[in-house]
Amino acid sequence: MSALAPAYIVVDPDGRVRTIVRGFAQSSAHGLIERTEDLRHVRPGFIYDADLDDFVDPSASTGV
Amino acid sequence: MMVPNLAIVGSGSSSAPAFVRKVPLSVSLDPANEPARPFLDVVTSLITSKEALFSALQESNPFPVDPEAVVVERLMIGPGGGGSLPSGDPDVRTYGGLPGMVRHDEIRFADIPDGEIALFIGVGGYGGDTYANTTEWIDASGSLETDGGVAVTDDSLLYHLARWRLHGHDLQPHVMLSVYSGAPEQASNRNGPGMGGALFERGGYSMYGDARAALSDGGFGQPGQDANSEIFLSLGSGGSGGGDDLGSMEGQIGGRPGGGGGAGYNPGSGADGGIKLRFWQWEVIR
Repeated sequence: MSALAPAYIVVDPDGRVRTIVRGFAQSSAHGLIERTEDLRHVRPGFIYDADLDDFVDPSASTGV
Repeated sequence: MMVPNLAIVGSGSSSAPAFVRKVPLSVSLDPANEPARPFLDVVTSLITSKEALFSALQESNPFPVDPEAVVVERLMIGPGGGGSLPSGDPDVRTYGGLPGMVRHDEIRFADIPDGEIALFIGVGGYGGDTYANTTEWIDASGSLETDGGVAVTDDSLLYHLARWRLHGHDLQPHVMLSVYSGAPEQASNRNGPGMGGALFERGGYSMYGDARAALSDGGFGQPGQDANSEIFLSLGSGGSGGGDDLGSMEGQIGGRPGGGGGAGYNPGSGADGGIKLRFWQWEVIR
């Protein structure tokens, strides 16, 4: 797998993770964040939470 | 070479009948450095535009290309799912990852909106992941998404089997259950990439549209085979499940694009998705 280009998390303008893709492709409408080991838990549908500085699962929280 | 003309009626000066034919166009996104090929094989994500695609088409072909007469055949493949981890219960089967879904259509080049086109290639699933990334075509009119495969458990197998069927995939139950290995009908998916092998089983075959594009698994204890780069309809086959006679319990990775990973204590990852684009031009022959 080492020959493969890095994976990038594609983030919509509202902070929602759209998908995770192979290779760097910066479009005008999406943010790209390299998927590191620290971001291994991130999956499509997660939302960026600025307070935690992390992507969280919106369905797992009651929004307390 | 004939200049394409959309009018099917005769020219008026001749009573000879007119016929139309679909002429394949060669394509290279970088004609100065890369030879033109029969189709674009996008394996890592890229940003292009309608304008860049058109100039690439014109530079890759020695005759005039008319954007009004060009159609784009799109084959989009979701990433494969990773294999499952054994639950520890010997009575419960441990399945390989489901293959990526396939979307195949044809659009008029003229119907693509002007401007940017993002081609996002979904990353294959890790072993045990029950969610999937998507492969996407995004332009100014919206997005077209193709789902990837997921790891399946005994509980979710029938649900996913039905879901894949609804999307046109023909995952054969006897291979889902991996009862027969090596049988001629071991096409685990007659309409897409191969499914990963269950524990102690080989990966599934891939096939799409034309049986000549079928690809067998790579063998026991081996990764799935990557698609034949010369064949448009060729897709990746499934990775073998773990449990070979050497005692390795490692599942193997799926073949690109779209093959599922094999089950195991160290399950194989699914292969990345892909987008293949083939361009045609309608011409009138008199």
